[in-house]
Amino acid sequence: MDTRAPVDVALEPDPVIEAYKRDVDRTLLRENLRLSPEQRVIALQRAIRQITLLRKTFARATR
Amino acid sequence: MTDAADADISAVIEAFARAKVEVVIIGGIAATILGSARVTYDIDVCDNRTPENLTRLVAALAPYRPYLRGAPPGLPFEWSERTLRAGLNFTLQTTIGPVDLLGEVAGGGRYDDLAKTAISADLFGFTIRCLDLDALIRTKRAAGRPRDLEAIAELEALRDEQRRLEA
Repeated sequence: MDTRAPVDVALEPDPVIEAYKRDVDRTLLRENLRLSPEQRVIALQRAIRQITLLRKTFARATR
Repeated sequence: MTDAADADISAVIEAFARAKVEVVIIGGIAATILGSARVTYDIDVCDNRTPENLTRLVAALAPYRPYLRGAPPGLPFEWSERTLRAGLNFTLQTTIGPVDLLGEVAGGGRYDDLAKTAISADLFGFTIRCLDLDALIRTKRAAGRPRDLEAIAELEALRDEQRRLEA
């Protein structure tokens, strides 16, 4: 099976995706576009650490 | 068996870059690099499947004890070029986080195909290759997974915002 996509084919709008797009928080995207790629990755790392900490704290509290 | 660790993205990038491993970053990390606000927990790359690059890849990740993610504990797993040649895609846990190696990506092809349009980004002192936004959207759409619909919508909104800035 050839999984390569033809590079010159434009992606047609998908009605389901268009519906989901209405709920995308574009303010977050605009904030991210002001950051460098490295700053974006650092922000993600920070988020992962915070989520992990929250999960561990919750697990301890509910034991 | 390797204990699961959170993704240490900078450590993975450094490991690949120092060993000169040829990869294109795809998936959620590519989306983050491009501006997505969604959280992702693993690092997906499309690796160049030449023998030389597989050797570099094995050397790059060996210190971080790669093991098959989700495999029963105690299952013998040899991290080597032979193992990588025997398969195309590997979902791994390492001591620097979950790393997925894909030799081929639906909607994108193999490393040589993705590398043609990949962008370069400077991260942590290294230059990495990453899918551009159109290619990332194409691969997500081709995967056809319902769980990706929200992610695709966000990427398309991101593309709209980029175009607004460029106009």
